[in-house]
Amino acid sequence: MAELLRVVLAIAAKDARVELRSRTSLLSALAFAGLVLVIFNFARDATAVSAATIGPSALWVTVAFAGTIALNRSFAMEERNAAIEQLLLAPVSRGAIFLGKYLGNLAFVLVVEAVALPLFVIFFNLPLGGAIGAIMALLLLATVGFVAVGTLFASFSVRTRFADLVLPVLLLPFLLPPVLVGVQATGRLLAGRPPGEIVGWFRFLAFYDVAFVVTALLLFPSVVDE
Amino acid sequence: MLEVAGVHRRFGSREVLGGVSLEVPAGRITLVVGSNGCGKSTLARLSVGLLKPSKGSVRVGGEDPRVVGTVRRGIGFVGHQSLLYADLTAEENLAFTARLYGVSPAAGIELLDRLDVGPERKVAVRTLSRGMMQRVALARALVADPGLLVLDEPLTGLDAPSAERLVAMVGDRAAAGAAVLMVSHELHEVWRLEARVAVLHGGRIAHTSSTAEPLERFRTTYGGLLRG
Repeated sequence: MAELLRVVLAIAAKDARVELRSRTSLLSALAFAGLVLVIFNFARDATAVSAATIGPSALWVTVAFAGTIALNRSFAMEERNAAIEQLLLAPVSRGAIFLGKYLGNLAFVLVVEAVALPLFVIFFNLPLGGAIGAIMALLLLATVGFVAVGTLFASFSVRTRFADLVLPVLLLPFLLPPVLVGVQATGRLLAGRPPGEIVGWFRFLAFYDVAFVVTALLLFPSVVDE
Repeated sequence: MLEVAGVHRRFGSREVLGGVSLEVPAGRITLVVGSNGCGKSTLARLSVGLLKPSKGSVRVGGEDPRVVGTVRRGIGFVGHQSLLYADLTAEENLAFTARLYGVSPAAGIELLDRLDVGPERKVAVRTLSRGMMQRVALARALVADPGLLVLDEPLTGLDAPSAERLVAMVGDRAAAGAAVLMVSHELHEVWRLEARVAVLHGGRIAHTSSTAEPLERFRTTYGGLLRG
């Protein structure tokens, strides 16, 4: 277990170091998140659609698409100089490689969300009040699952000719459940509905996470091995 | 150490290797030569477990490197590409490799010293010359002191002194007990090694020799074989 953890952390730390060195993907994802929120905010007719009505959709669409941008870069760095082969040749399990890449992606997407959420609050001027903790928990739960699917898909879409297009097309159907649940639950929280109303959504996201983290972990070896 | 037995390998409908058998014992060097596209790189990649044979088997120390992860600890591979992270420095790349293999990062630094990678070790490897990057790639392959070293065209693009240094290091590794499989076109450079030579042609080992044979005589035989 300690051996697995050592390898997982080494891979995640390496990904973070590569990203910090170039910053291209992080800045792109953050700029994208900011732009989407700006567009949602200013394209809205404030007299016809309230911020509380469109806000949840804006937040979750921003997170979903910015997250997809972030995931694209994950295996692009492995393809350059065929660096992925170094991982495949190492005496480590494919599961450890997946978990390392997954952890790196999770941290990356959470950083994007940590910037997007305050921007959302500023642009939409919504009184989150006591709902902020629950919204953060929703974002965390949804991210845990969709990043697992995204990591798996990114590992093979990167080898296609149009990787930047292929990943969103593959990933979007799997993003629908957490995004729909997130929008519904966030809307209820912003409307001041009692927490008991969204417990079911939390359970759904937890089930989604377990199902897709396990599935992605099991499928990853057959995707990266020939 | 390395046993390749009756290996066939197809890519789609094209059979690149059609029953190759080869043994590389510990402490010995085997050179694989052949024309472009004859399957040399495929053989090298099969030997380290990056490719799966369509038929036949590859064993390293009696185990399949694709199945037994611990076997991969004893394999060093230098391919056409460096397998290095372009945005990391040579030192950072080697430290990462050392962590993957569970060895001290100091081992990587020592190798960079031995391969004369000077101040360049502190800059991103994407800025390095081909020769310097190849030295770092070799250091990466050697970081865990592998018992099997597989080198696929390691001399391509190197200047004469760099090639000479790399060849000498390969010889040292074999003298220290490593099995070495080396694919190369640079016969003049590699002929100074004490090695068995296998000519890959038509998907099979068509001829075997050794570097004890005068190079010019080997070239005549080799040329005749390729012509047909």
